[in-house]
Amino acid sequence: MKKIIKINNGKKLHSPARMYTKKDLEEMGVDYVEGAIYFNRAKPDQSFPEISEFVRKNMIVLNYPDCSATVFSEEVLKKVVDKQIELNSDFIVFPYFKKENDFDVKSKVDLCEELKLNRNFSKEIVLEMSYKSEMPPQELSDLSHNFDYLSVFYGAPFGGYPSFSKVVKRVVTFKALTGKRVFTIAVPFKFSGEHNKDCRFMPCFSLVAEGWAKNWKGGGKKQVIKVVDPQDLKSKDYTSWLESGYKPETILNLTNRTVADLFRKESKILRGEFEKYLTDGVLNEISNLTPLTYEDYIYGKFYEQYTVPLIFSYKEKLILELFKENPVFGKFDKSGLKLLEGAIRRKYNPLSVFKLIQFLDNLVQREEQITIQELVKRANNFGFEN
Amino acid sequence: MDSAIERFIKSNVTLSNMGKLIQNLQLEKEVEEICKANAFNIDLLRPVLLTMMRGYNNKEVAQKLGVHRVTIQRYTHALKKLKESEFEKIKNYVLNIENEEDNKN
Repeated sequence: MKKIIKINNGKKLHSPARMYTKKDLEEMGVDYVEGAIYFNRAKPDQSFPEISEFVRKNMIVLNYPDCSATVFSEEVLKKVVDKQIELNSDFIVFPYFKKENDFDVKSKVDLCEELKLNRNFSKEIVLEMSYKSEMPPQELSDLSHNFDYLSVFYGAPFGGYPSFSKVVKRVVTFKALTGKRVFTIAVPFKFSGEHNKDCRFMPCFSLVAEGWAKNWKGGGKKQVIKVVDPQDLKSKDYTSWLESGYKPETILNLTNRTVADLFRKESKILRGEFEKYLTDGVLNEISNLTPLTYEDYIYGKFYEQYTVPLIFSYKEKLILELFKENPVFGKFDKSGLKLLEGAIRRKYNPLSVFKLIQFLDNLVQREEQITIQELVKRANNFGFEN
Repeated sequence: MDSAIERFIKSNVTLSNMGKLIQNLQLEKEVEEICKANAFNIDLLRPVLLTMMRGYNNKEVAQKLGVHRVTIQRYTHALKKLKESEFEKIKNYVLNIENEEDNKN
């Protein structure tokens, strides 16, 4: 679900937005990506790299102080925040620190509050925490008036179901309680499937968050050449490709070269190109999913274990963007809207949620005098009418 | 991108546009075959074609869509190599969708 969000300084964010580094843009052969986020990373004791005029003009700039290897201290926190303010960053991020605990997170929130209370400060604040944090959702929600976005730090080159479901749970509960948006940082593109050796290509974070940055830390040197098969998005070695029905002489339409060519040791450039075409195709497919096509896609392409969290995260996106942020429902009071939201949440699958919200939207626009009680009644009966 | 059926479901159904639906389904099927043969992703092909028709070059298209420049080069190279009849089918398919969306708005 694509949406254009205007941030405080007037710049437009094309959500869900991927975050691109300078290296990403160079690899892509472009100067900028319109409406996306520029992820300008630096260690806390380093200066942020210069940003080109193209980027400044066309992208949202996130000067990200990478404190993932630094133990928390208020002094370092204040220093990295001040640096971002000096540079006139579009967002001000309070980053994740190595092994930070909930007390450290609350110290970050205290500094957020100080900034928010400063009359001259108008930037949007991003509070970052690890997906491992045990802070109860309600407690985080109670503190959320001090920041504008939550960022969940994943920090893994390769993902698994337990960590993935924790990330999604944090994102979904925060959105449900606050109606605010979330970023996910340092996320993997590949996840384990049935077992650790079963590797699935699943760049799905645009289905979870409003902005995301790929993990920048390497996953270690690979011993065996593996390439993602476009048919099932599994990362396989040569033998597994042949076991999947390919022949060595099968021509792959993506590159017009054979499978055997792709796996030759010296074909590093060819494999790199193949990966670029595949990644662009999959990311584009994912970004164009609609409530009508969503479930078929995720059940068809991703390992089944991940589909449940993805259903919940997409549902939450629909509720946030089509219901909570919909001005059509703005005339009703908060308590009434909470009841209506409850009725909407009773629908399990995203398509039902989408259709119900559309139905309610049309109803409110057609029947100006309709009460919230009537809407709740109609919502509860939706799908059961004769 | 919505398929012909999805767009039909969302539109107002009348007898006259039933005929259009059947035409669109047939065109969609033919376009799917062309895309499969060329490893085109239809969701990417549509904006590539539209931005090309509006005069943007490969780099500008890549910057608008957030994809690698080599991907756009692959698409434009492959589009130029298509038979004229195949290219026309893709163009008609994409423009049909644009017209439907313009009418809706």
